[in-house]
Amino acid sequence: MSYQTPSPLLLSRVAEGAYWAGRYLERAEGTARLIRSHSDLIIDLPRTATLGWQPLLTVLGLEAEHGTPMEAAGEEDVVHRLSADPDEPSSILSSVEALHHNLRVTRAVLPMDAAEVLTELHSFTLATADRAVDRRTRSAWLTAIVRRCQTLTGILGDTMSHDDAYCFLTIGRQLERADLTSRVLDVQANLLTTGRGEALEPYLDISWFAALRSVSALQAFRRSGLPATPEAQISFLLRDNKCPRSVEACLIETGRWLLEIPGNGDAMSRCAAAQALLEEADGGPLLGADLHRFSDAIQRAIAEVNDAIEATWFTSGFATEVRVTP
Amino acid sequence: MAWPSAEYDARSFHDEMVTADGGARPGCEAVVARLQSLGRDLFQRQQAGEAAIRSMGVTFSLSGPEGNIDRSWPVDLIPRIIAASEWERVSDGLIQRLRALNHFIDDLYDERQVIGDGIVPGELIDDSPNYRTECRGAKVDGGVWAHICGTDLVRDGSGRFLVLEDNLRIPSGVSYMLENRQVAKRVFGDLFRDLDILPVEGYVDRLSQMLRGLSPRTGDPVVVVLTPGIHNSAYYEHAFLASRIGAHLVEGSDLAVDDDRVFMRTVGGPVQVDVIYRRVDDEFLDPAVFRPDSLLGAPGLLGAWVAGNVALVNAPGAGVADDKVVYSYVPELVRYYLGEEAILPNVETMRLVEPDQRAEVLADLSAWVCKPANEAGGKGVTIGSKATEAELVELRRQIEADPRNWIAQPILELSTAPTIAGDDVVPRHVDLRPFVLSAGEPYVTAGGLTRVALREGSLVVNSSQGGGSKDTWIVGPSAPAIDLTDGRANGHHPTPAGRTPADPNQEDRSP
Repeated sequence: MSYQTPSPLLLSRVAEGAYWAGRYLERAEGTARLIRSHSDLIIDLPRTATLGWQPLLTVLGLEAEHGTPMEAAGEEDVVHRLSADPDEPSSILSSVEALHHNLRVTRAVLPMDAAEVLTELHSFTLATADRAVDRRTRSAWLTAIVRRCQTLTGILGDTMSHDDAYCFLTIGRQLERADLTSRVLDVQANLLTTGRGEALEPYLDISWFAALRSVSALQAFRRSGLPATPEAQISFLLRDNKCPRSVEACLIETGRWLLEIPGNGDAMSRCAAAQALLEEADGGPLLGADLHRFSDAIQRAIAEVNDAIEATWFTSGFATEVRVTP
Repeated sequence: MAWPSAEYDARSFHDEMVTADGGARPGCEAVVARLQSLGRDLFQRQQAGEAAIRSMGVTFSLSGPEGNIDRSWPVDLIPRIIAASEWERVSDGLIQRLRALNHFIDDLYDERQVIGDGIVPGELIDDSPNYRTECRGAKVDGGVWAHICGTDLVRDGSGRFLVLEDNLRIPSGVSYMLENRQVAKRVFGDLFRDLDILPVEGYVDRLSQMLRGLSPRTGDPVVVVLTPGIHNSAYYEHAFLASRIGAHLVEGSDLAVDDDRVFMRTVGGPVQVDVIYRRVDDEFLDPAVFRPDSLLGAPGLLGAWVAGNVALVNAPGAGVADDKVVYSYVPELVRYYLGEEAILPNVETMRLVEPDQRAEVLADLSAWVCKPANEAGGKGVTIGSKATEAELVELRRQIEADPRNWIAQPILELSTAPTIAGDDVVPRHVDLRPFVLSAGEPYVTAGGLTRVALREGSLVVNSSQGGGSKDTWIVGPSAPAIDLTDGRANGHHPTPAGRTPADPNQEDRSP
C-alpha cells in the first residue's frame, strides 16, 4: 500500500477541535493533580486547621453550591463535583467528555494508537468516576487518570505528525497549563492574606509544598537549591523556565508553537504581552493582595491570547478575497 | 468439540459452511477443522475479538430517544468463506452490472434513448424522487456517475448468488469490512498463515487513486470527504476513510463556493477543492438548488459541479438507478447497453404499478416481501409472513394509494452461516455487500461486508436493527503470489485488476 502525504492545510474547524482537545486534556490531568495534592495536604494539617475544601473550588474559579457558605463545602461534595459530576463543566468527567468530543472532530488527523487510548480513557472515566469520592480509592483513581492523560499526551507527541493540528493541540495544552499554575498561585495568595492564613502559619511550608506538588514542581524546586520561602516559591512557579509547568515556560512554549502557524501576528503579540507582564514580578516581593492582583492580571493576559487565537483562526469565516492555490 | 453438533441445522437453508449431511462444504474443510480443534477456545477468541473492537474504538451510532448512542461494532468471529473461483464470476457480474447502470444514468441525463426505445417507461423516471432534472445535460468524466457502489447479494435456497439491491447513492460499510479483517487477523493469525485468503486492504489504495484521478485540475489534487458531522451514524466510517486516503474530513460549513469554484476554510485561508467524496444525500448537497433548509451542504455546489470545476463522488442524480422499480429492469438494461446477458441474476421482482402483477401480490400479501422503491437501510420493508394482520391491512392501503412506489419479492430462503451465540454455534441468515469502484479500471473488493441477522430466524441484517457482521474470506486454491514491495497480491486476483495485460500470472490463473 502506498501512503499519500496529506495536504498540510488544516481546516479551521479541525484546528479548533485540536486546540480545545489540548485544553481539556490538560484540564482533566490538572484537576486530578489538584484534588490529589489537596487531599494529601488535608491529611498533613492538624484537625484544628479550618482550611477545608473550599480552596479547591476557588482555584477552579467555582462558587459554592447555591445557598451554601463556601466554608461549609464538604469533602464528599467538593470531590464529587470536581471529579464525577456530569453537570459541572470543570469536573474531570466533563473534561474527558469534552476531550473525547473534540478529538472526534479531529479524528481524521489523529494517530490510530491515540484513538485507542482515548477510547480507553473515556470508557474508564465513565465507568469509574465515583471512585474519587471514597478516600480509600481516591488516590489510585486520580493517579490512573493522570497516567492515562500522560499516555495520550505521549502518544500524540511521538506519533502524531507535528503539523498544524499538533501545533494547535500543544498550544491548547500549554495555555491551559499556564492558566492552572496561575490559579494555584492565586489560592496561595488567599491563604497568605486571610486570617486563616495566620492560623495556618506553622503549616505554610506544607501548603506551599502542596501547591508545588499540585503542578508536579516540588522535586524540581527542591533540586533548584532555592530557599523554601514563599517569595522563592512564587518566583519559581512564575518564572523558572526549566520547570515545564511554570507560567513562563508555558508561555514560551505557546509562542514557539504559534510561530509555526501562518497568520500568527495578533496571537504572538498577545503572548509576548503576557510574558512581559511576568517580568514585572521581578520588581519586588509579591505577597498577599499583590500576588492576588498579579495572578488575576496573568489570567486575563492568557485569556487574551486565547481570544486572539479564536479570532484569527477559528471564527474569522471566509475571507472576502478568495485566494486560489497554485 | 464435535462440530457442527447434531443440533446444527444445515438442512432447512443453504448453509455457507456446512452441507445438509453435516460435513464441511468444499473449500471450507480447513476452516471447519480448525474451528473443531479450537474447541471451547473459540468462545474465548470471540471475547478477545470483541475486546479488540472496543479498544480499536470501532463504533456505529444508533439514534435513540436520548440522542445518539455509540455502540461497539458487532463482529462474529467465524469467517464466511467463498471460493476464489466462484468469486471471480461474481466479481465479473458486478462489474458488468455497474457498467450497464452507469450507461443508463448517463443516458437518462442526456438523450434518454432507453426511454425512446421503449425499454424503460418514461413516467417511471420522471416520477422518481431521485431523478434530478438539475443534472440534465451535465457531463461526467468517462460517463461514470456511480463511482462507488455497494451491491447487496444474497444466496437463495439453491446456493445461487442473486442481487438484492444496488446502492448507488452513499453506500456504507466498507470501513467495517476492513476493520473486521484486522480483528480476524488479531485472533486468527494462524489461519491466515495456513490458508490463501485474498487481502482486502487494497481497497483504500484503489479508492484514493480513483478519487485523485477524478480531479478536474492538473497537479496534486485537494480531495475531501464531506460528512454530515459527528452525529451521523456513519461518522466513524467517514473519519476512517478520510484518514486512510489522506483526505480532509469536511462539513458543509467548511465549504464555500465562489465563481463556480469550491473552497474550504483552512487556517491558511480558503483553499480550492478538486474532488468531493460526499457522504451527504443529494437533497442536502446544495441548499440553493435542493432543500433550502439544509445546513449539511454548501450553496452553489451543484453549479460548480455542472461547470466542471469540482468532481462529486458519487455524482448527484446517480440514485435514480437504485430505485427498486428501476432495479427490476437491470437485466434488460444489461442487454440493451452491453449486448450481454446478465451474469448475476436479480431476485424475482413484481412491479406493483402493473395491474396484473399488483393483483397477484395483493391476493396473498403474506407470501411476499414488499419494499418501498426509494428507501434505504431496510426502512419500510414488510416481510409478509412475519407481519400482523393490521400491518398487512396498512400495507395494502399504502400500495393501493401509490403503487408506483412499491415492489414485491418472494420471501427468500437466505443462506445461513455458523455464528457464535453465547457458548453455542448456530445457523444465522447472512447477506453480502461487496464494493465496486467504477471510474478508470473497475475494481471489486475481495469479498465484502458479510452482514448477519443475529436473532434466530430473522432475515434483517441491518446493524441498526440487531444485525452483526463477519469477516469474509475469499479462499484461493493455491497461495497467491504476494509482491512484498507493495503488499498487494499480483496474481490470482479475481478482479480485472489482476487481469491487466501486464500481469505475468495471467495464464496461471485457475478457471
